[in-house]
Amino acid sequence: MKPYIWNPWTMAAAAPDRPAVIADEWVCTFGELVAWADRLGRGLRAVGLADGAIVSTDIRSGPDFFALALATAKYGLGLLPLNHDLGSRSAALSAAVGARLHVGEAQDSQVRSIPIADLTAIGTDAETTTPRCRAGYMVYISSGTTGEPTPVIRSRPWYPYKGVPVHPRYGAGPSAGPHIMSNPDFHLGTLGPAMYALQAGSAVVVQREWSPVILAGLLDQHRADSAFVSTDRLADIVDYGAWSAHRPLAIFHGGSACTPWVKRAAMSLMGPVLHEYYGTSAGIISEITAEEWLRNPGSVGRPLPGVQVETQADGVPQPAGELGEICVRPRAIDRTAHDDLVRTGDLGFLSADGYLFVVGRTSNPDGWPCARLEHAVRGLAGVTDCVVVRQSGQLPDTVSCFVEARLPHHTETVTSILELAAQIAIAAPVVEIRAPGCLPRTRSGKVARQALGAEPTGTSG
Amino acid sequence: MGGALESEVLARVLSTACAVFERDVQPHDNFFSVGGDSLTAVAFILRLEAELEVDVEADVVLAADDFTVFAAALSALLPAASRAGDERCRRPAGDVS
Repeated sequence: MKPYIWNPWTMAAAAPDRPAVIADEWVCTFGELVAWADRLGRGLRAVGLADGAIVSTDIRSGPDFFALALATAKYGLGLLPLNHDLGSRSAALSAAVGARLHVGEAQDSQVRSIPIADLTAIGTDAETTTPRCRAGYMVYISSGTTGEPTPVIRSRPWYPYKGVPVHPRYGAGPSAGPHIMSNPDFHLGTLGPAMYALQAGSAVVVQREWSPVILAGLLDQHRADSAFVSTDRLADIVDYGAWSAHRPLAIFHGGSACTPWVKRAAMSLMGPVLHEYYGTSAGIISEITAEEWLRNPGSVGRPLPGVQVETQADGVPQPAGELGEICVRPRAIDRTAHDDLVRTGDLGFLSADGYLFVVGRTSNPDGWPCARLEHAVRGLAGVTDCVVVRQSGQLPDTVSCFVEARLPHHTETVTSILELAAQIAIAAPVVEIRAPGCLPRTRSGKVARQALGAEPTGTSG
Repeated sequence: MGGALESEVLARVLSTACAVFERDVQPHDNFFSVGGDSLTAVAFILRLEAELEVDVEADVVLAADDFTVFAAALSALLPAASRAGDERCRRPAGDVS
């Protein structure tokens, strides 16, 4: 099937009663959703927002949030979704990106707040003309590995809102089943696939509480065709050892490295449906299908068309197979004035045929021993995650290797790690093995390195 | 391959690209340098397919270094009748979006 362009308004015209967003007991159809989005869009313009202005919101994932997201896309505004765990930092983040309006609970800041019901009422009474403007854009909070939430403003399309290109490999479309948003938080990894599926014509089902059992139940109940599952939750599913009877077409994962052992185990449960993304909050850099991964295990795929990737050491581009910091030249449409060359802070290498492998973070540039050990440990059987950090506050510097691994692999894993460390010239690292799911994590599923005493590094998506 | 046909296809490609990208597009521009992405790739392909009555795969567009290279690849995809001088490549440009 050839790709084609689709959006929720086309979907509503074709099937207004088709479910668009399902959250808890709330089912909103495409007809209802686009009508609401238009009211909100008109309301946002009626309260005086200029073209391109940024709106922040703390509305939880659900029909009201997605109506607002579609409104900002169609009516040419930026949207900053804020998770509730940000607490008092929300107001500062709204102000930092220059938000002109906050939709949701009142913030303690100079940014004007308005409840979504009031905005809807304003839009209901406003003129019905749709402005001819460029499409809107998103602002994501990077969870990163630094501990500090950082807003990242995505580039704005040069063209008016049109929708998305529908391709069958992504498991969403006007005749496809729903998408399960298994993490209701707002990150590029969670919201990106959900927004894609919704615009392609699939319903989005919001999973409020995480467990592999609940996800499998939702997949079966809704006969879903796609879902996003962060890497740590992929390990949870493997640990649980069972999957839905209904087989979705695409399970997206990304945001942090998945160990080959977890990925193979997941594929043995789910089939070859895993679709991995690698990128930052500013944009996706590469993707890899299950079939490609099986031919290139451990890779995060080839750069997307138009995206240029090179690895650099001391500012010098490295040949195939050589480690370096992963640097990216985004597509022209995704560039801002500041990011002709984006340094990701990730360490990796490109294979001779252009597949990218991510090894770790670029801290401790003296040969990147921690990242190299981390990458090597990730390749061990039974390992579901690993972080190697140098704690330089101690004398002498201590290298600690925190590993999540399944029993009965613990003893052999420790022996293997010490052997690997010796090969990389790391003397006597402290090795700590924990059961899967026991390392501290950010809300997007990354291991919280600073909570383990790691030195601060650059931002990452 | 005939140079005349390739020139005609290039002219059609450029006029379609100008319409899709809403800007002046030159033979040695690259699809991405003029603001191309996955969405505009589909819009560009759909318009070209309607105008030239030929199937165009996205990879052909995305992999070409510039529109001249793309037009050459596209010319090779045209049916033999077109390459012998069929008029379908010379239809007046119209809004087929």
